[in-house]
Amino acid sequence: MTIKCAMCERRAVVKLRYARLSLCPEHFIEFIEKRFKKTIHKVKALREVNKVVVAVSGGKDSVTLLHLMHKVSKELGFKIIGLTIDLGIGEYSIKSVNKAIKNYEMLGTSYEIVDLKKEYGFSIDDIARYRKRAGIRKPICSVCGTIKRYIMNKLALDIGADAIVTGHNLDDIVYYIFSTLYTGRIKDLAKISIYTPSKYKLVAKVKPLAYISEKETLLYVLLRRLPFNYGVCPYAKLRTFHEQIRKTSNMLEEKIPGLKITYAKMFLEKINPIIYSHYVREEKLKECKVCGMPTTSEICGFCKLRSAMGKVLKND
Amino acid sequence: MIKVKAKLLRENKVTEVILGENAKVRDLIHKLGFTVEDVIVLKNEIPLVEDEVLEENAEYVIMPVASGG
Repeated sequence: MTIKCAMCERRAVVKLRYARLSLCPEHFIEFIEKRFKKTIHKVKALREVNKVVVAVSGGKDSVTLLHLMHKVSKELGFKIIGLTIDLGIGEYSIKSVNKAIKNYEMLGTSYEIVDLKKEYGFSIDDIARYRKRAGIRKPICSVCGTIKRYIMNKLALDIGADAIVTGHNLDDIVYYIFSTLYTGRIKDLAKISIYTPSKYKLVAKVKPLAYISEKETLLYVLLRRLPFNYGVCPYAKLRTFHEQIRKTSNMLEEKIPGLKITYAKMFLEKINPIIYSHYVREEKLKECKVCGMPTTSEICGFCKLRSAMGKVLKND
Repeated sequence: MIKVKAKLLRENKVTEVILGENAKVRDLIHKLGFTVEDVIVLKNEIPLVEDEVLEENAEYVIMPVASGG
């Protein structure tokens, strides 16, 4: 027995239990596009932008983001520029970059590829290999995050973009909420938001997929037959705590449909706006003495990393 | 009892699974140790709703959702 779409008589391919809807491909795509637009409209600042950087890794989330942003940009009248960082993670990066380019070409979108090794002299694989020797204490995924944020912000500043959009999805938001609650990092919890306004030389950031789960982004790319890298980052297996939280939240979602989206909405729209001013002290930003990018110390985290890696690679 | 094949996409492995009569996609997902949020189940490249009844001897592709990217 096949299940019918709630909107038409065609065969359903997805059951959105939190919305009590089974949908066919066409109505699921429409549902996701509507939800995305609703989130975009919540960010008032996006009504006044001219140029937006879309961060595209080539995975399912960022490919979904690119296609949805492309559509919305036409309606709201702003320009999008794709940014893909070749992180230098062996085959994984090669595949990811190729998929990102395929999507840019499909849409005719302008894009920039930043090759970490060529541009800055080191790759993520180099960091994995020499991290300890370089005195880097942070876990590799955290270092990778610092690098991506730096490059995204630098490109956005260089081209005069008003905002950067990233593919953080509902599961990422729920992970941040659970992990900050568990570890008691209330300041970090208060900072979780869909929109981070610009400050000094930090370009505004938006997470328009905040209410779309990763199961939904995977279905979106599959049903629209979009090219994407289905591979898993080889360093992701090191994130055991992340994996435990993901499994637990999915287990809860199956028992209590809608729990993930309710938690995300509660924190992003009700709790965080209240606790933010109480727990977050705005840190004064200044220019990094090496690269001129914004930092709270004399030299930014990226330049420290670059210098440490430069020394190790030179001696190798 | 019915027997179906489950192709685990990440592991690139096919395994045979025995389930009760009128077992649904959801039962297959649980039997393999996943929740319905963890995976997408496809048959002939078409995603299936977890309430669909499984077909004897059919092959189902199990596509984990998490990418960890």
